Amino acid sequence: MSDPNARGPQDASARPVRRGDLTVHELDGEALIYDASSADTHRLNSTALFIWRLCDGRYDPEQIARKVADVYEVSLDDARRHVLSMIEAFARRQLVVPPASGGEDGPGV
Amino acid sequence: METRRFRFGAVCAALTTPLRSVLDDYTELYRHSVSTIGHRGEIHVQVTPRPRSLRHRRRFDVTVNGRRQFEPGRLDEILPCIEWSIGWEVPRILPHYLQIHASAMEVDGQGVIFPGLSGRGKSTLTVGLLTRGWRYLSDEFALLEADSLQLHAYPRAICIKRPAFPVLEQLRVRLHRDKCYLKGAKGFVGFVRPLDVRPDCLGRACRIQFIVFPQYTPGTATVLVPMHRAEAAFALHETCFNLLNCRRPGLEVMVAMIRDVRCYRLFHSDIQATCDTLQELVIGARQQRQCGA
Repeated sequence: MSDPNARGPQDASARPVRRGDLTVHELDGEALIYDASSADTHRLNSTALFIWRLCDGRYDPEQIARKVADVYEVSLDDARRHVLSMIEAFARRQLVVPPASGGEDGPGV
Repeated sequence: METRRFRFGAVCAALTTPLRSVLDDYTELYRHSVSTIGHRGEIHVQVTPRPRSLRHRRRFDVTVNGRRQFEPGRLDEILPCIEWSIGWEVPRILPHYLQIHASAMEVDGQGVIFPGLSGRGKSTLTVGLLTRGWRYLSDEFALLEADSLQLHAYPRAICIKRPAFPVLEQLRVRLHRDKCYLKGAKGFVGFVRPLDVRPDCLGRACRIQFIVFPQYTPGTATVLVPMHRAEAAFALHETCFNLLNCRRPGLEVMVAMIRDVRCYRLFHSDIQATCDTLQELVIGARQQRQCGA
């Protein structure tokens, strides 16, 4: 039996991958994401959208946090906390998948 | 049994019933919408009384295109049931329109919609703005054509709940026949004929320029708060009846429409102050456009 939490989204070594089958509508720097499989719609504010775009399987949460700290001029600690909770929220809403499952290929939305 | 036909913008309906009082009441409410010819795809509503017996209470069957939809027990419940029945069929017969739970108005070619669930003050606000010269498109839901993104008229009577009747007095607007009807959980309601408020009140198809989400809160001052477009689109998608059944993907239509629209939340209670605020908003926008032109 494996521990289901061993490589959860909050695991600093996991590289989250956004799902490639979602429809993304950007509006003035924010986004509406439509999940046809569940018929759910999600709204991402500008920070969430920035983080979600970086979920392309190339960056782990620590690397994403560094980029957030750079762009938004916040401390690395704050950025880490925010990024981890955001990735957790993406996973809960099934907007990202574990890296092995395959998501979107390239960076950017 | 007698049948009368009506046309409400793009929607055609036929009402058949042996109940003379119901037929006359409905025809009087929509006397400007009476149509003499049948239309393909019209919504057919039939109201029939069930045979009465000592064991069974009085009941009526309200069917829509052959399906039983309501079973009102009182005569004054029937008219709201007919209104509901027609409204529920609209997404099916007009799949090329996005149907939004909102009232819709036109002012100088600018479309304004007031989306929101029941109790937000949409209908009362609509009547108030009619008295200020705004033109009427629809009350219970706004019809947005998916390809052209034009807002279209669906000019039904405006349904006002009893707690808002004093506001009508303030506006000097009378209810249809001064009558009350029972509308399920909404309690007693009355209907306002827009053409009774102003004979020239019907609006033309237009693009939406403003989306205003009203929130009626007794005693509150009138405040208009700008909304981010993504926030407005998210709120709007929750008020859409046929997001998944529209011919074009509903969210895509909504986002395309909202890109050039100004969005607000409106906290309101006093009808005159609210109408003043909205007048300023649209007149200000018109003046800005004229200065820019």
